[in-house]
Amino acid sequence: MGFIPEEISKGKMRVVLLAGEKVLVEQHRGLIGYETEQILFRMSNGMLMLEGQQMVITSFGAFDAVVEGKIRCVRLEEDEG
Amino acid sequence: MREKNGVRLRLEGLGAEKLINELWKENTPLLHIGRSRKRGVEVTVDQVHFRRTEEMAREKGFQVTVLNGGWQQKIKEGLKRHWALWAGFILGGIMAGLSLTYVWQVEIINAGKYAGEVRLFLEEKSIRPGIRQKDVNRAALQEELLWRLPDVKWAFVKMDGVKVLISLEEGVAADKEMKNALDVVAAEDGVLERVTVFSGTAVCRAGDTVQKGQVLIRGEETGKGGEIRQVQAKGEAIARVWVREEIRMPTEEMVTHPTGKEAERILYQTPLGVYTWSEEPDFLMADREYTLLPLPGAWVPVTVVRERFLECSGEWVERDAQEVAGEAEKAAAEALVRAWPETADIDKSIKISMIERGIIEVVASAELTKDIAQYGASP
Repeated sequence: MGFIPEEISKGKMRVVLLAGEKVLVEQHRGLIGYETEQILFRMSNGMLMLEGQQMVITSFGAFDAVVEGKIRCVRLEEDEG
Repeated sequence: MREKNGVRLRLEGLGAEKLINELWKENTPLLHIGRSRKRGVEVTVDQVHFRRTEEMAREKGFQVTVLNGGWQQKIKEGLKRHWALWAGFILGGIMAGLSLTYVWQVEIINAGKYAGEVRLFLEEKSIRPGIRQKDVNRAALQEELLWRLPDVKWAFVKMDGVKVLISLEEGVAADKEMKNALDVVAAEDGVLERVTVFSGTAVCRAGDTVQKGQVLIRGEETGKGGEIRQVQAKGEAIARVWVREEIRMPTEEMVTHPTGKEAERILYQTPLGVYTWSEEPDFLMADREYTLLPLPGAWVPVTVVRERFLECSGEWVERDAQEVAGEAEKAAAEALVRAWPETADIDKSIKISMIERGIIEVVASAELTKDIAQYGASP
């Protein structure tokens, strides 16, 4: 029997970092800023900041995005209140 | 795979992130978003969303460049960017194609003594560089050349690419030789030394002086019963013949002295004619010098001709008569050998005379022994 994962059904974000080379961002709400050293995603509860070098958004779909490059830092800044 | 079939775009403008968000809101899948220069991003979209992406980017004031679209896009983009170059290529192709339908060279080969006549004939028929190939009626030209030139066995007129080639075969056509002609006649004037008959009846004997066209062996034989039957005459007629060539040479020559005035102009020599924008200088007499420089890269053969005029004054000066006679003698002997190569190794007789004031005439002649039998109609 199939099911819908909670992060999908409830629109909760999910960020997966793979070996410091790839980041999968699910349930983002759009792009705030993009430089090769810093990428900012709008999330349901704040802003996701990726820092690194030579970062490329290899996929930018309706619900998810994949970032590749040398990823040094993944930080979530939650909205106040 | 998706990426392979996608179109790579460079979007240049302010706020690339906003544009990406707008596209994202429209569910446009974007792949490989990367920074390009300071104000741009590079992004891959699939063929389905390419048009909309491009449209939206332009609406937002972005400059859109297709980097690796399908071949159709590449061609489209290439055409847009380098339209003048493409137009040049297309025009050039059309011109090249058109130029191949024209005649750019007329060459006469093996024409021998008829070279001048053939040239005049071609001029008369307007066969010259620049005419259309379809206007060259080869069969008609061949037929007319054969009709005009009596000692020509065959005339070939053929197209070799953009060149018209006219080639003559000297001699009398076989059918002309044998037509109603059973006799052997003299090919030229001479004194017979020996007549050998293989068939037919000899009508001349050794020692006879014969003229060109005179019957030497009649094409008839008498049977045992006295009846006369016609046969093809065959035989040899060895005769002494004399050949001659004459030339005339002036005893005066023009000596020029430069005045120091010079002028120069440029001419463009093309198969269609020679063009220039400059007038010829107003010199009464001038020596000319030419420098030819082929123009590279032109569609048709064009030669740039630099013509230099050196104004001069001239005067007629009497040359040493002995010197002129010596030159004339040599020239006459050479002319004789050119006309009759078999005289190269035999003694020649030279006769020099002053035919009028300032002109020397030299006649070179030689005696040959040869077969003058020719198959042809009796005169």
